[in-house]
Amino acid sequence: MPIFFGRRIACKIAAALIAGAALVAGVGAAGAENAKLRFAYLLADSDLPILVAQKNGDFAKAGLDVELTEVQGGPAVVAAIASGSADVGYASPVPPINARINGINVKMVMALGHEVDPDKKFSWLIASQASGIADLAGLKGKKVAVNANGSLCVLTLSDHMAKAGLKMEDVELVVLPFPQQEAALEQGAIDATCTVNPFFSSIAKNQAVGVKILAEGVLADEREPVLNDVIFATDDFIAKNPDTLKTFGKVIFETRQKLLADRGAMEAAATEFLGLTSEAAKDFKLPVVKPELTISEAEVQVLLDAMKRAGMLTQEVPVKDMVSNMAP
Amino acid sequence: MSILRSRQGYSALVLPVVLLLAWQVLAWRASTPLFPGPWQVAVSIWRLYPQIVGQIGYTLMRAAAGFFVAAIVMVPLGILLGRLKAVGSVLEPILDMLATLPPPAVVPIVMLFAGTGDAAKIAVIAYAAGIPLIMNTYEASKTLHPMATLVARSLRLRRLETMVFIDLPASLPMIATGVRLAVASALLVSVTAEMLLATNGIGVFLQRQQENFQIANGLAAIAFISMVGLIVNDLVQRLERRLLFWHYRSTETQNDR
Amino acid sequence: MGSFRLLEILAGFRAIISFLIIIVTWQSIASLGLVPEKYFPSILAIAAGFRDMMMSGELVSAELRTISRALIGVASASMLGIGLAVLGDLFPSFRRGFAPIAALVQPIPPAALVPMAVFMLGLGPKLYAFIVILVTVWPPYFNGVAALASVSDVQIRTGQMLGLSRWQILRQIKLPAAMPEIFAGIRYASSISLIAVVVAEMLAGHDGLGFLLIRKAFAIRIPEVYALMFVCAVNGLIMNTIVNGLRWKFAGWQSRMTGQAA
Repeated sequence: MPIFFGRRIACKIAAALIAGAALVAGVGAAGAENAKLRFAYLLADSDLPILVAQKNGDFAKAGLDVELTEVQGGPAVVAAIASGSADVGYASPVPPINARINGINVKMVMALGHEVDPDKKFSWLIASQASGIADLAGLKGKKVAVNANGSLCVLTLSDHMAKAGLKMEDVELVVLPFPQQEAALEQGAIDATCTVNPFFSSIAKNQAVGVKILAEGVLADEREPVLNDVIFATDDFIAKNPDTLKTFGKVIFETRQKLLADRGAMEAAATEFLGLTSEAAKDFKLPVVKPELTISEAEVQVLLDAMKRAGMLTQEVPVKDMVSNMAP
Repeated sequence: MSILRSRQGYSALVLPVVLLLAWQVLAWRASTPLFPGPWQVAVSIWRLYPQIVGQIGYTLMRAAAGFFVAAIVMVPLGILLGRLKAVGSVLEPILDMLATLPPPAVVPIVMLFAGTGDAAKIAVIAYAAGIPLIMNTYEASKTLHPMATLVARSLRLRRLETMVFIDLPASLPMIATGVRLAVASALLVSVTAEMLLATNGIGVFLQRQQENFQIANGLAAIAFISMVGLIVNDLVQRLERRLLFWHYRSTETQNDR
Repeated sequence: MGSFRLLEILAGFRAIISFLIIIVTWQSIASLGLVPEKYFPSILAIAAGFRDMMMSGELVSAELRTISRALIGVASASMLGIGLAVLGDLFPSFRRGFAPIAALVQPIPPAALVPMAVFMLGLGPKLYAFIVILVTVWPPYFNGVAALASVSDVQIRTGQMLGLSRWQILRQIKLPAAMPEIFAGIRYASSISLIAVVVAEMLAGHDGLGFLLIRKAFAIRIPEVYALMFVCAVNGLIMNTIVNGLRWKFAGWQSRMTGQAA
């Protein structure tokens, strides 16, 4: 026994410290090759074309070296980009807006999904039958779940409640990840929630919940298409690699067109990449309203106004600092 | 002697001060809101402390409730298992398995049975605090000095009486170690549980700051969590020394921690 | 060494019994029907989920990543903890300066640190190293400090009488004497490190058990989520067996002398 901590203890400790330092010093900056694009995303329906394109080698064929990193939640995507672990990211528009307001230099470069009246809706406010909530006004004093703070869901809830004359303080807010919401509704732990697919279609089929749809869509007013999913990048990357971004967008666009034209391929991809059961994949829809990926300052301004009404904006930043259209 | 003490006191300050300065310099060089220095954190603390103190109150109440539930259930159970050696030794791996379940994985199950309110959070905290408590109590009552059992027998104590009057006091020093670990993990897990089943508490505050990219505010909340942890741990140690004075008196001659 | 083999076999057997008890308890709760089966599935459904993940190979690769991260984490955290404890023993002013830092950093939960650590360290191995070491270093450190301080004077004086230097006393008398208590700390650290790795993978990872857990949850595959939790539980046993084996090697003299099983 004393042999282990005998003569060589100094070496061992030194080795441990060096190993620790090496771990901390870790990976340095990667080589700055133009065609390299590191993409951080949270798993959602809109990613599907990107995942399919990567698997089929479409990015490589277009001369891009795309590296995909999946993370949990919009703030984590921003964190990945801000820390230099990724160049480009996908999330709902709220995290990049929040990031810009707080001094993180990212801009939205493409739109991946929209919602519009009457039936292209991809987020829902729902209540369980047991809660006795019949309409938006009925939310007053109830337990309502959102998936995360500072998320699109918070905006959804506050915008619709404002229409019914309610404020956020009128409900008891619970932060609960999407996967737990169905059980929480059925067990009566929450009365209402904001949800997206595939969870919505699962809850809608659940007789025990007896779902009551209170509102559809992120904003109460969706006569014009409302931005739902965006791709964003750092100012630095946009300035240095405009062509890379354009090629990236072009490949996404083409893959998405192919998927939209081929229902079988779409369902197969939803099963493979989103992990859906083949049954759930039958209900799968891409949130596509406009075929092209163009993003405009006007549609971001709509969201900014809504966030301002909801009290989600801590300070004002001009919309031109938030958007830089890079769609092909 | 006192001069020596105070000089040592100053030298003890060197390391923390150097680290704080190094942090500040790194933060200046990074010059991004994502890497605030101690100065920005101090400003956040100054701005937000009424709010943070209010939220940490909820957290402490839950942590205390969870800890007491754990103590009431786990200490007797540990003594019982230590007495029934065969049962105890078979069940030991169960504890090892339960000890490594991460709170974020336990929370969804607890929610099924206890909802999203205080009951659920207290249950998760009790679970986390219960593990070190039962492990230490079990270990203590299992390795009890054989003399103690003989004394009990000569006093003709019944089984329950033996457990209350002999086993419990004799195991107390080791249980105290478990208590210290349990208090620490109750605090730790109450913050985590709040982040996962969020309504109020410092965990919620922290998460909201982080998800809105207010890193300095988040660090301010973390600073408060550390301070509270420090104070609570210190209180527990003082209490332990006072209550277990007989144990410390007998060991103090051997070593001075 | 022979008695160790026997103990090992017995310990393996106990583990199986314990696992069966957990399974039976789970199944009984499931059969009570307090919660719809959809959310609290039967053992059979969970086993099917386990089989599916084994067949696809995703479970094995995730498990290997998580376990190796936890092992590397606990190994480096232990070395660092012991190293700091030794430094503190050699230089009391270092120990006093480090004490308030340790006391302040220790109560911070990993879940609170992960989101901010991502900003500063990115998503790579740096992040795991930081999180795991920051939460697991304390038990070996505190136990090390306490144990080094409480080595009996008689032993130290004996060393001095034999003309050993301070450094020799440390490595030949104090450290061996402190090993059993340090290992108790390492054992506790090993379960914390598993938890820390899984939490970090859940919040900011892109592979490993924690990531798989979240991914399965978001695909509404509940039996597979529970199957992964059972895997996490068994990992506790695996870690423990490894640490106990090492303890026998490095600190076994104590168990052999006092005749207690490790």
